[in-house]
Amino acid sequence: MKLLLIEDDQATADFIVRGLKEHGHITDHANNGLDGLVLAQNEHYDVFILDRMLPKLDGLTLLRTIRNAGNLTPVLMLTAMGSIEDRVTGLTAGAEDYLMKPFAFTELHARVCALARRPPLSQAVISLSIADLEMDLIKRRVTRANQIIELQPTEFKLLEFLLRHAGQVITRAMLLEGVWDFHFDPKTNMVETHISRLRTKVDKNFDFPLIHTVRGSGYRIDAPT
Amino acid sequence: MRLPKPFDSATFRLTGLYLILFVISVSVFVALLFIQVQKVLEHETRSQITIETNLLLFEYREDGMDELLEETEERIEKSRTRDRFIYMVQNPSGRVIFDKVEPVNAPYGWRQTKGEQPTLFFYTQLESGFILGVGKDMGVLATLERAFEQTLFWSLTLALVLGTSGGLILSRRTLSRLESINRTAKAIGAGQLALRIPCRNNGDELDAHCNTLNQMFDRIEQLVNNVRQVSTGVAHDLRTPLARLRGRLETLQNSSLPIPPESLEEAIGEVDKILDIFAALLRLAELEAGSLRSGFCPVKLHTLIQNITEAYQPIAEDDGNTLKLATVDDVSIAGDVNLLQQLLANLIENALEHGGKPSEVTIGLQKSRKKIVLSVADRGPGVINEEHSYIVKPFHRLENSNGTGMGLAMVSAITRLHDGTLIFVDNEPGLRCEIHFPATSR
Repeated sequence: MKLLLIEDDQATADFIVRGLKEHGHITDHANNGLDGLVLAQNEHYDVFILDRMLPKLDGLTLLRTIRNAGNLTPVLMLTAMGSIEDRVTGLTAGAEDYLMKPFAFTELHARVCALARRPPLSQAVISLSIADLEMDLIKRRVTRANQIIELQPTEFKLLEFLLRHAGQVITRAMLLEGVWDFHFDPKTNMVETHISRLRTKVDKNFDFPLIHTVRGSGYRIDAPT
Repeated sequence: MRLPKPFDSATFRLTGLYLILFVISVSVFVALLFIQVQKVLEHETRSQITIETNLLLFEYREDGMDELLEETEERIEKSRTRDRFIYMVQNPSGRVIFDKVEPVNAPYGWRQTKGEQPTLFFYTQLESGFILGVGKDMGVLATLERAFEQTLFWSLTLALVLGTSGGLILSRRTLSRLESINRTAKAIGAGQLALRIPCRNNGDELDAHCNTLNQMFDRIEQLVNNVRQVSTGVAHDLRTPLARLRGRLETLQNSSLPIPPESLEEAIGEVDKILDIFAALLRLAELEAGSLRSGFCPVKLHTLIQNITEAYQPIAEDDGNTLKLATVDDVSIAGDVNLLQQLLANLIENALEHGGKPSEVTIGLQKSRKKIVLSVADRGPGVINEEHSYIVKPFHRLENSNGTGMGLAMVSAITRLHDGTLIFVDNEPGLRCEIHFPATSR
């Protein structure tokens, strides 16, 4: 993937660029809003990683400018502020996702990957599948190896979220936001509990597991290679 | 800031302005009154002169010029008072026969002379060519004018003296009260937060002002106390994990062995714990500021409760606890859905953690005409009444709790943001947290 990072703090930028390079991505870095805007408008990128507070041109204005110019590249916004109001203004300005500093690199990477492969919104999906697992979104029915699997509404939503990002690492925070719409971190191991219940139904009595734990990062649904 | 001298004070200036207005209006009033009196007197004199002239003219027409002269002379003889009429007869050659006055020329009619002895005359030309004049001394008018002037002068002097001294006294009194406000505010600014402005409770505007200021000082004191408490909490709760982290890093630095991954993981865990406390503190500050109200939308509380209960039920079951719903009425309130989720999650997590082993947690939502009551109840050991006001403070933790001590502080702040009240009730046994929202008119 080719990414554009617009971030004024050199240490943070180095940490992100190095991490992304290790995962095989090419990252251009701009350390102020104006340079970032020029790069964003003239080159093609898969995802923009945009800091909210920038010298010369702040992140929100930059975002509004490129959106007004018709640039639809997905944007992950970074912020040290992270208050509720900030998140709302960031999302209304046209950011697809919002990440609060400080963050773990795995969290940033998972979110960038999810954004890059986000399907266009207009595409209506009626079914999702991976290996021998099929999910019918209209009948709300899940089968694996032609056996019907009964799922609770939350389990269905959880599986749907994983399937929509099949092959990608999904972090706990992404699941909390995507499945439960929780924008805070519960003290309990809510995600683990629900994943383990889903696994009992989806993976336990079958030949090979589909839901994998990615140590230190999150989960991934994937067919065996 | 210094308070002004009495002469420069606003009260004194107001009194001065009032005094000027008073002087102007009194002067105008007296002047108008004088003009009116003058008119009446003149009118009266004119009619007296007219009557007298007519009487003499009657004599003249009946008996001729000689009789007129005789009659006039007789009248002059008879009336020696100061207030008498002045008669004047002038022969055709222009010589004045009676009373020593200046001769007159045409046109005749009303004439008024000014000067030392102001007089009003009415002259008539007779058929014989003689001129008859009847007049009256108008000196009384001058006397009246002087009297008016004197009255005006003295009353205005008195008004000025009384007004100025009254203004001074009033402004001294106001200034002394303002001075006491000023002194107290300065002392509070210098750190004596418990001081309050003395109020007289007489209900005047200065008193209302003092009360408002005192309320502000109450709030300031409360906020400063909160900050103190939070900073003490921060000092303790952040220093402890920071010290642990520092210790760990120092050990790693001094160790000659390769760094084991668990040590790094533990160190990151410590950092995350510190960050959690920071995030909670920032969130609390944002909630206290109250600015989030602008983003309020209608939130279906019953749906929210069902979703969260569903999310927590597996967790409760896995630990051998029960989480169930009691009566849940359909209720919508204006609020922030994320914050309300967090409120409920914190209450449920608290109840599951502290509600005894195994715990039995019941969630309810009831609507009456006046209020909406959201409740989360457990059957655990409960919290004694004396503790109720402490458990909502930031950094307050029950023993053997593994939380940050921010959970209930957050619940309390979110409740206040939504105009609700957080109440703890004895669930006999256990603790029942109730949140009372005012019922909306819808």
